[in-house]
Amino acid sequence: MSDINPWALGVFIVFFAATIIIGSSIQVIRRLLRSHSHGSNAQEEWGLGGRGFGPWVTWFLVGGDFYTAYTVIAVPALVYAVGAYGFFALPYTIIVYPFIFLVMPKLWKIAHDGGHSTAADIVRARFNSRPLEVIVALTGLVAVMPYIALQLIGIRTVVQSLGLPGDLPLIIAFLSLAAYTWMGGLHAPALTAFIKDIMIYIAVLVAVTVIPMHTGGYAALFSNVAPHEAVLKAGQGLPYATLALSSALAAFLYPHTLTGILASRSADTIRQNAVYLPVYTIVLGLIAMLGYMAHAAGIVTTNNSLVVPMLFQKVFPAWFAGFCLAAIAVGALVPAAVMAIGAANLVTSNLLPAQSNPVMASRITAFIVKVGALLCVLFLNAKFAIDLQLLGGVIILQTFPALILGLTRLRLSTASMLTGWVVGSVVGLGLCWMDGLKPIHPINFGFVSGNVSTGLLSLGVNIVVVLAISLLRPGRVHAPVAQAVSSEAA
Amino acid sequence: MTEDGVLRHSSPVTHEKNKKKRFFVMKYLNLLLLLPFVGLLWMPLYDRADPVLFGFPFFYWYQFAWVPVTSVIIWIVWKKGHDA
Repeated sequence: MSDINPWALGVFIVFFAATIIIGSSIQVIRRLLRSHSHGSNAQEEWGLGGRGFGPWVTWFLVGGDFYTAYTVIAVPALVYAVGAYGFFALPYTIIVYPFIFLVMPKLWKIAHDGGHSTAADIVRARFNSRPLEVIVALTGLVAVMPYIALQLIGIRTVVQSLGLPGDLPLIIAFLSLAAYTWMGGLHAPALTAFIKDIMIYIAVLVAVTVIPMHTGGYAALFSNVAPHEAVLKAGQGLPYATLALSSALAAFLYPHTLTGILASRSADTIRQNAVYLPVYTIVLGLIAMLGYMAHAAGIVTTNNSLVVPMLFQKVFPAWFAGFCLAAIAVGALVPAAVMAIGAANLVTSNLLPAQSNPVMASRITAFIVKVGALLCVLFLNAKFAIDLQLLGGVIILQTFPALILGLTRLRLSTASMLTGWVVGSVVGLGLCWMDGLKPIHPINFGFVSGNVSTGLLSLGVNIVVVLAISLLRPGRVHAPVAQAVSSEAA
Repeated sequence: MTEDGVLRHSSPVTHEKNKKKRFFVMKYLNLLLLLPFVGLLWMPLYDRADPVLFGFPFFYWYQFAWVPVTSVIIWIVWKKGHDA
């Protein structure tokens, strides 16, 4: 790992730097091209891209922040280390689409009609409660930090595999992300999502066709894996299913994923996207296979995150390996930027009083979020990078009742929401802490026993508390929500 | 489960007849969207190696197969939702 291949490094730098420069200068280019302003203010422009993205851009944007270092680094790393169990990302990224199809158009409608740009806005309007708004905003802010940390680890791993020593990879990862977001706003990731997706598709499609040819086809891939590792081990079924479900429920509660949803042009754009977004899932499944391919190609490492970069460098010529590594780095950079912007939107619109210069406030907040992510990388000692994403999931899932159950006509009270959030967060984070950041916890209820996703467990506790308290003291049905739900079906 | 709750409350009660009819059509169509959840979260259904297809053990190709199936299900519900 210590020797630097100049071809790989050169190609990497060209593609990675080009993306950052194009993304950073997009605002300047747009300003030069635009002949007339179409009435949206600078804040909405920086944060929601003017709320005018059609089906195609939304497809790239939502897919773009969904398929990240999580997909190309963390999932194959888990598959490499534990086998079939790592594939829970596949059912997760399938069942999430029926969920999006049903729920997200309603959220979009409410956000559009009420002029809301964040989850906290929506919750404030539904429950008419400032404390709940603050809690939802803070939860989103904290939850993206470990998720961005996973992206930083992705970029760091790639730079590391190119042979750069010491702390340099992490410093490069952090600085590139900071520069990219500071200059570009949401238009930067929207444009570079096209570049990123094209690069990722080239890298992945070549990898999933060329690498098996080196290792004797997919049949050999599985014959090289010990038979008992080709399917789940005993007791892995329950955590597999519950991790898939909790990940799917959490996926679109994050400020950044919600940003992608709210930035789309219409509710139907979202429904249409739910039909076409699963194309990305096929790619995700094939990328997960890289974990097995690494075994077949004889990759041996104790740092699981390095599996894919090492595999690329072993199988591909140096220049193409450099290109693929740039694709991975860009694939971590773009979503990390969207995450930071989503979190920044929360702070400027929900936590701080009205700003004289909201764009500057957003920029500074986005930077602080990235510093938080950096601290997660430095101080959270997770066994797998994917555990960071699952930790974010435990945190963000506690906003599920306020945001999603709030869409129903159940008479949920504000007090129940606040109590449920406190209990769910304490249970979830407490269990994570006790289990050493492991995302699953053993339960035994007699009829069902085994390891269950901590996120799902804590969400269950949260919902039970919410329903129990709302049953005792029902809240009122909030008019705008009832209205939006009715007109939704009309 | 939670997604079940969302489903059940996803359509509104309205007093107009045509809306009511639409409500029932959508209600049953929306149930189709539960299929991927059942098919992918009930592990005994697919946690095994046989039959192998193109070198992929059943566990893998079964889950891959659900991707286009889910797309088609969502597409059907989306189209019917437009027509109804």
